[in-house]
Formats: sequence, structure tokens, C-alpha cells
Amino acid sequence: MLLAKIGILCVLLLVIPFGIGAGVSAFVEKYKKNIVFCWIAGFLTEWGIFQIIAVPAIIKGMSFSRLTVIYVTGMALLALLGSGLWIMKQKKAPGLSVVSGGAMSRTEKILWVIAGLGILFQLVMNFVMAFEDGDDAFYVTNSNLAVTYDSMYRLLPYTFGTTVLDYRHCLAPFPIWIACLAKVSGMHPTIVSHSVIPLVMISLTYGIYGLIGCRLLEGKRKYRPLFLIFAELVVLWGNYSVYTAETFLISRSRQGKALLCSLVVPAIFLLIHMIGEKLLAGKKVEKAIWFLVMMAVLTAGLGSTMGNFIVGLQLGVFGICLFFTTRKWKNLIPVVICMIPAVVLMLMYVLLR
Amino acid sequence: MLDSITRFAGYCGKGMMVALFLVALIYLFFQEKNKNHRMIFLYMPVVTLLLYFCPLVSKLVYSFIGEDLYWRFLWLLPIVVVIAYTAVKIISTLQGKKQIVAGISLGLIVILSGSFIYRSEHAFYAGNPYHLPQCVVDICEEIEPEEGKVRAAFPIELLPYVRQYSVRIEMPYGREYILLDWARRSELFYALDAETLDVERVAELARQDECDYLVFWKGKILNGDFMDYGFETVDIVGDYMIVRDVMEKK
Repeated sequence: MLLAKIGILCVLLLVIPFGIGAGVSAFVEKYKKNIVFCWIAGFLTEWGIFQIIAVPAIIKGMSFSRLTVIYVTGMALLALLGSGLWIMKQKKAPGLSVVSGGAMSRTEKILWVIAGLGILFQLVMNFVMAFEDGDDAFYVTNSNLAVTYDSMYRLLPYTFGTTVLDYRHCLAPFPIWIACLAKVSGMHPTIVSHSVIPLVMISLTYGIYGLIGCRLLEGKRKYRPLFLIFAELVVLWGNYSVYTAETFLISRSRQGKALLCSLVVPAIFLLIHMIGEKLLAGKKVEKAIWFLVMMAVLTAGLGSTMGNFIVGLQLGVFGICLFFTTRKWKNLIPVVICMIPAVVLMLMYVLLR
Repeated sequence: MLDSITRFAGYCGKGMMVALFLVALIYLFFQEKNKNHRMIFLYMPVVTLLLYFCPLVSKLVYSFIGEDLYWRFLWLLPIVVVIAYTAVKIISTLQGKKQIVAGISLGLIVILSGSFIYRSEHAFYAGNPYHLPQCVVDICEEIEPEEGKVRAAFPIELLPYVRQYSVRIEMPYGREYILLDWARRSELFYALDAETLDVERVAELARQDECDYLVFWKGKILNGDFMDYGFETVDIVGDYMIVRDVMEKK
């Protein structure tokens, strides 16, 4: 039984995101064969779409089980479609790779092993160690309420009893996404929140750091694992205050705020670095990259209502820097378009609260 | 401006990691030649910091998200990437054994500038996959019904965990008692929190709050017997005693 539950979670957290991501990545020339990029792109797309479906569903009072059926069926179909698209696009260049190019030196191999062991250490530690945080009483209990009572944001998490729709939190329904995983897999929402989600979040975050490192160190391949090792050191010793994104990644990874600061913000840095490279070279940016930026913006909203403001600001600062670097205002149009979901969700928050 | 500085200092905390990040930005300003790298990982953090400390911006942001959350602005600083990249960039300029010495030294600087996350006061070894105190799991399993729900009063230290395990357990008061400074907490809370339990009063208040169960520290002094007031002892789980209201069942 437990194996079946783990198997279902593997499908939901590995196979489906990878299938969806493959479909998106097929349209990104540089990353169409990169398995890590596919996985990250799949999650961003999945989360973005969940945000689009879930917020209206919650406001309209749809049952949680119905939302789960719609979402999971939709994602499974998208994964099939994505895989199909990827196969069609890859006919001429088959095969997946994580790192491209010739044989690795012995030192490079050792450094990759150290980097890998560092990530493994964090995954094991986050599985065997618990991080106490009072906010779990709200977020994890909301996941639990959705699974047990088939209701979303209409029951009081701390005590019980019905309430009017909690508009502030229902605009950032990350706990409901976790509840969907729990519902489909049959695993307790608290186990999914505390023992499963951290493994996914930490892996994805290092995937993003790895890709950023590869971009920054293009032509210096042997230093890439070293970048990842230093990134791990900064994260592991990043608890210099309780507010840091590194602290949130390790100790509060099941909460939407961690999704925002430790995953979405770096993911947007990765994507805008890809955009910057193209624009500064006078090339056209693939639409798939802009699509992923928009999905990341929606994901920020899924994590936290404040995420809409944070990533809006991030893109705004990027827009300013891009304008002063390229001196072309036309480059700002897609940046502004990508900010629309954040603006809409912020307006909804202001109007509904 | 002063508020922004105070919050920035709060974010920087007890380590030197943010200082290291600022030093790394200065290094990149002089050493980084790639236009795109400069735009994303040098200009963007600098503009973000300028906006953060700009009084007009902070006033505007305060009105939208409130002063208490202004520090979240600082999540936009790519601290991990900038420090890691700068360290690697320094190492890559060296040759042979100097690279190893520089690598170890820079690693030590990072370690000494921060605080190890797994030594946090909030971290402890999880006794179960729920990552909840084992006594909460055991107590909940004891009182949780298969169908429907029960109502139980718990001591303050268990309030955040109970409904993470089971939402079939209602509580007369919950984590809001820890989160907010409640001027008037319920009488049952105070009665159950007292060092010596006034059993008659606790039983009366529990019934008023429609509690099926009461959970309290087993070391508390009782000035009577719960059985005399229609309660029975269910079990002692870990450090806690569970009693049940059996009045209607009699």
C-alpha cells in the first residue's frame, strides 16, 4: 500500500511535470535536451495552470474533489501532449542530457560527486529532521481540511467551524495543491507537506542554481560543480536570520512563502538571464521562455499573495535594467505583459479583502 | 529610511553573509565583463537595494503590504548566486595548488559568515513522518473518531500540532492564542493552564464549551477527582493525561 502511494507520488511529482516540461522545453532551443530544465519548466507550468484553475474554483465554491479531478486529469493530458510534442521535435536530435560536451576530468567528477552528496545530505536531513513553525497550523491544516471535508478555505483551521471565504489566503492556494497530491496518492496531507514537499523543493531549487551556474560559467565547464558546492554552502549556512530565503528553503519548504522566495525568484533570475542573453545579442527570444516567465509569475501568486508584488517588482527592476542596457523600449512590452497576472491578482486582493 | 535600515539589519541577522554579498557585488563591478551577467546579477541587485532604501518607495510599499513584511523585499537579492559565482570566479583566476587553498579559504569564509541551518533552535529529529511531536500523534489516535468529530481542549504547547494531524478534532481554542496577544482568553484555557486544577470548575467549563475530552500535563495537582464530575480517565500518553466526559453515556 505504501509503495503504491509512493509510486503515485512519483508519477505526480516526476513523470507528469517532466512530460509537461518536455513539451515546453521542445520550443527552447538551448534546453530542449536538458532533463533538469524540462522538470523545472514542467513544475512552473503545472503550478501556473493550477493557480488559474484553483482561484476561480475556490471563489465559486467548487468542491475540492472536483477540482482535484479536473486538475490531475488536465495535467496528465498535458503531460501526454508535451511528451508527444517533444518526440516530434526531437526526431532529428534524440537523447536527453544534463551536461553536454566531452569527457569529464577526474577533478570535475570528484567535484560533481561532492556537490551531489551535498544535495543528498540536505534531502536526508530534511526527511529525518522536523522544523517547528507555527504557521504550519494554518497551512498544513488547510490541506488537511480540504482532504477530510472536501472544502476549501471555508472552515477555520485553528479550531473548527464554518466561516466566510478566506479571501486573503484563497488567492494563494499552495496548500490546496499539496492537498491534491495527498488526495490522489492517499498519503496523509501532513506527511506530504512535511516529508515529501521538502524533497521536491530542495531538488528543484538546486536544479535552478545548477542551470544558472552553467550559464554563468559557460566555457568554464570544470568550475560548474564548484559553483553548486558554494551555493550549497551559502544555503546550509544561510540561517543568519529567520527571514532569509535560504532559511525558508530548508525549514519552511512546505509553505507557499518558501515556494516564492527560494524557488520562483531564482527561477525568474534564470529565465531573465536567458532573455537578456538573447536580447543583448540582438536575437529574438523564444515565446516559450516568455510563457515560462508568465507561469513563474502565476506560481509566485500561488505561493503567497505578496508574491504578486515581489515578482512584479523583480520584473520591473529587470525592465529598468534592460531598458538602460539595450536602450530599446520595445523590449519592455513582453516584460509588461508577463506582469499582467500579478497585477490582476493584486487587484483581486485589494477588491476582495 | 530608518525603518528600512532597521529591517535590513534584522534581515542581515547575526552573520556576515549579506556583507559578503555586498563585497561580492563590488568584486563583480570591477571584474565581470559579460554584459548580461552584469545586468542580472550586478545592476539588478543594486537597483533593488536602492529602491529598498528609497523613502518614497518604502512609503508606497508600506501602504500596500504593511510595514511588518517590508523585509520580504530583500528576497529579491540573489545572495546565493552572487556569492557562489564570485567565489568560483576568484578561484578560476588562480592556478594549481593556489586554487585548492583559495577554494578551502573561501568555503571557510562562507561558513564563518553564516549560521548552520540544522543547528537552528527550531530543528529537531522527527520521530515520525508527520514531523509532529509523537505524543500529539498518540493522543490524537486515542481520541480521533473514525467518522464525525470530537471536541477536545489541549494545553497551549500542543495547540499548533493537533489539527495538523486530525481535523476531526475540534478545539475550543487554537493556535490564535499563541499568535495573538489575546486580552480575554477563554475561562477554560486559564482553568486548564493553572498549576493546580480546580476539577469541579474545569469540568463545568469543559461542559459549557461542549468538550468531549480534556488533555493536560499529567504532573498537575488536582483538587478533586474527575470521576466525581462525570469524567473518566482514558489514558496517560507520554506526559499527558486524557479524560473524557461520560455524563450523557451514564
